[in-house]
Amino acid sequence: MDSKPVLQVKDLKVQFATRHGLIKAVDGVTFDLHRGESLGIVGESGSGKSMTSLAVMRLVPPPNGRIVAGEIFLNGENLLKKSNSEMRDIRGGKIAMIFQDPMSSLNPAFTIGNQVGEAVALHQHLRGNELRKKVINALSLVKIPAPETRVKSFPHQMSGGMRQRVVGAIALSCEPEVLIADEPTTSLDVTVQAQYLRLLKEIQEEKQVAIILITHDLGIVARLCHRVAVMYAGRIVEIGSTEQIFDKPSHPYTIALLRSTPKLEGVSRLDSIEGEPPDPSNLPDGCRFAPRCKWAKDKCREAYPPRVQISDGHWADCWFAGDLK
Amino acid sequence: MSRYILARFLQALISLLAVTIGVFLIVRTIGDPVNVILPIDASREQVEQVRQSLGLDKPVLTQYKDYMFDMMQGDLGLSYTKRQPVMDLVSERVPATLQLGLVSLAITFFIAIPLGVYAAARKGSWVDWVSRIFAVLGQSIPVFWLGIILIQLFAVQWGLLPAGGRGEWKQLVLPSVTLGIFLISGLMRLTRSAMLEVLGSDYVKMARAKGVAEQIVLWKHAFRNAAIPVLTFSALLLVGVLSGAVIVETVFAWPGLGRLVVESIRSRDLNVVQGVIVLFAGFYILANLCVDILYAYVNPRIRF
Amino acid sequence: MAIAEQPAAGRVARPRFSAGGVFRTVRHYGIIPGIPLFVLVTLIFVGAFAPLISPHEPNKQSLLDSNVAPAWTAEGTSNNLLGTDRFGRDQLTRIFYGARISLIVSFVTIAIGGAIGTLVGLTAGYFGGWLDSLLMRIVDVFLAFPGLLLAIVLATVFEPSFTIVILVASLLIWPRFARLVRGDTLGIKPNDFVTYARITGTPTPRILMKHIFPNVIPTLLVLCTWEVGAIILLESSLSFLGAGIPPPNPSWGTMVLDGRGQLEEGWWISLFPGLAIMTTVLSLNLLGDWMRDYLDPKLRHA
Repeated sequence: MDSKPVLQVKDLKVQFATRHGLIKAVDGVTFDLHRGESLGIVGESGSGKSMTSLAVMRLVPPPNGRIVAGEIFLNGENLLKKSNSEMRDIRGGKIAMIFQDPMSSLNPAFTIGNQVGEAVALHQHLRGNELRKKVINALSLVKIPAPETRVKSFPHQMSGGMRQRVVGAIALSCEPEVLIADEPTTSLDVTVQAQYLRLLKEIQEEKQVAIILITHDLGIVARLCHRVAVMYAGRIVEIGSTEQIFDKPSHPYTIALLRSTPKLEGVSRLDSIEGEPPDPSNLPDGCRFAPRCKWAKDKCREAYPPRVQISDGHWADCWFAGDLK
Repeated sequence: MSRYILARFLQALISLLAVTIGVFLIVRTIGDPVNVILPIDASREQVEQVRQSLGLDKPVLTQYKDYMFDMMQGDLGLSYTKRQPVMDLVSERVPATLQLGLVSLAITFFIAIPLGVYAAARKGSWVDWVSRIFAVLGQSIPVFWLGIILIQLFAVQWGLLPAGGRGEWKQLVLPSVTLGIFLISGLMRLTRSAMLEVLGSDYVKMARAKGVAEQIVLWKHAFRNAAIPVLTFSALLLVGVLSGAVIVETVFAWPGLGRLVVESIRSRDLNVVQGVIVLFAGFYILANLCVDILYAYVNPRIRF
Repeated sequence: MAIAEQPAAGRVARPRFSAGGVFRTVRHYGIIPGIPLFVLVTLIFVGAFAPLISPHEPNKQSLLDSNVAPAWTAEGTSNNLLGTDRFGRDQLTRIFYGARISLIVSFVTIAIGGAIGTLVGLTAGYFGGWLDSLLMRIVDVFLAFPGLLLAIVLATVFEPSFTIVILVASLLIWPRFARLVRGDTLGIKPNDFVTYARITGTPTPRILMKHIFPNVIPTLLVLCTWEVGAIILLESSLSFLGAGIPPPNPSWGTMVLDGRGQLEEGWWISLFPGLAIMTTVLSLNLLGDWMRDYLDPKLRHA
């Protein structure tokens, strides 16, 4: 894991022009991702985690949304400098994505086989029988029973869990180096969720694919991810290994987030975070969490805090990082 | 699948029956053809004689039975004013209306669908603005007036195209363009809104995330799904073609069914109006049936 | 993301509609709704005061003055600003009186068809169940009906007249009112204030009129604006076909028809009444679209 990272994101900024003003959806996000590693990005809705992942795919919705600054390197090549057609080869090929809702991420008008096969045909230029074999392989990789007959099914003939597996099959069919999963289990039943996550973990260990898992569920992160990035109002406020984050959360938002997650043992009190996230078109000058932070001082409201190293690979954006308890 | 078609077919038959009954009742019980045929000062005996010869003295139900029975055999009765079988009058006009309708429909689909698709794909761009102007103007311009303005410009002012009649292809241009403009706005609006909805869906994002080229995303992934409401609307579009044809044929002296109907209103020739309306209704119901069957083909969810 | 969610209570808390409110919003939102509104106010004024402001009698023929060109052309006279038709009738006067006909037809139709549709919609939405299914079935049948053809049948059976035009137009618009009002009613019914009124034993007609109907008004206003345009188009088309308002009444559609045979002699005869139809319907459509966007976001997909 100490080799060169597969994916490097540096100071990424995404903005939206809306009727209510300019919205800074992602405002200076930096992280690395290594081969075989899984990084969890956690945060409330609107914190910019989904937009970060769409930016990596260069799929920020036009015409209002725009990547205004930053660099995204895939194996050292800057994706923001690629042409549209080069980018299409990368999408679905080297970087693949799983969306939130399996019920709506499959096209109702085409068969499963058609939809898995499309990606394979595009990126591996296979046809006919070879294509069919590859599609069936991809479906068996995600443990879909009887893949030979399933290829002829339409999405509406399958359950939610099965559909999300098909989405996984599409994403994995071209053996991507990076897989971005945007809340892949939110709309599934709890039992199906667990199965699906186990499956993802197995495939990751087998194929050594790097995963970015976007979620608001810290429980999933704890089970699946090596590292965690906590996002708040368009920025990563804390990043570190899963153990570091869970053992020694150092940003007040991370602390609050962990306290608001129910556990079976230990902490009995369940805190909710007071207040609302800031208006993304009108962000505060200083620390963005300051208005909701119980430790906030004048300094916090005046200037954005520096990035403080807590320990090796563990950083937090807080004036008082490491001093809080 | 075959059960679905059969059910639809039966429904269509029932609708057709309902329409014939409706039209028949309005025409026979409210309207009195005798007033049309005879002068106002006709004697009582004359009236009775005409009533008898037309079968109007029988009960309405018997009249309807006779009418339907005759219709099955292709007999729609006699025109009161032209003294010719309605069937002959109608069948001689069918090709003209068919030609006008088909050409206009082709123009409509050829312009409305790409315009709607690209207006949705590039929301806020100049294509979108053109489409919006088209939509709002198309909804506001009276067709008959549009036709007259086109005649004024292209025929009277510039002498480029003939003002009316049917024969050479040049005479087809103005009527079909007029009818086309009348039809485009609705279809384009619908295509645009259906596409906007589909383009926001996750499976379109998914297709883009797979690295599919934008044109294929648009036409294969998005349009295939947007086509379902568009197809449903096509049945309504046919109502537009029929009502539009009535107006456009009148403006351009196009010798089709629409013009026949309007001429018959003026001479109050009930049998002809009744015949054409029943024919229109039958055509409309048949087209609806075709759309339903096509719909089942496009939408895999109801194929069984 | 940036789309704020419309709170459910927002519908109910919406301020009552008032004339002063309309003018304030126009000032606030600028010229876009202003122009159509101006056109429509002018139209209503012209229609209402046609006998006072018209330079001539609408049906007075004067064969000596037939096909006089508009005033600004070389052959025109200031006596007939927009020229005259084949019978020497003053075009401007006839357009003023034509506005009157369009307004009467559309207002009476909205009063009849709109009222029936609203009543059916409220009933279907409020009571639900089999009554709702039955009423909506009927609505669907009427919606699919080719209205122009129905009008033709009726115009052949009866003499063409105001009554027939209004009857046909009402038959065409009531199902559209019924469908939209039903949708709104379904949304309003689950609100607490309706439940409260029911618990306290308020009679059903009173619930419908006092509690539900006021909340349907914004939708109705938008729909009426659109439908008046549709009715004006229908009336003029019917008149053009000879199945609408009978001559010599100066319906705009009839006037266009009069010009149809005079294209060589007088381009103005059909041009101006047609422009009047188009400007009016365009203004109504633009105003309706604008009202939908700013007063009632829920209708945006209708």
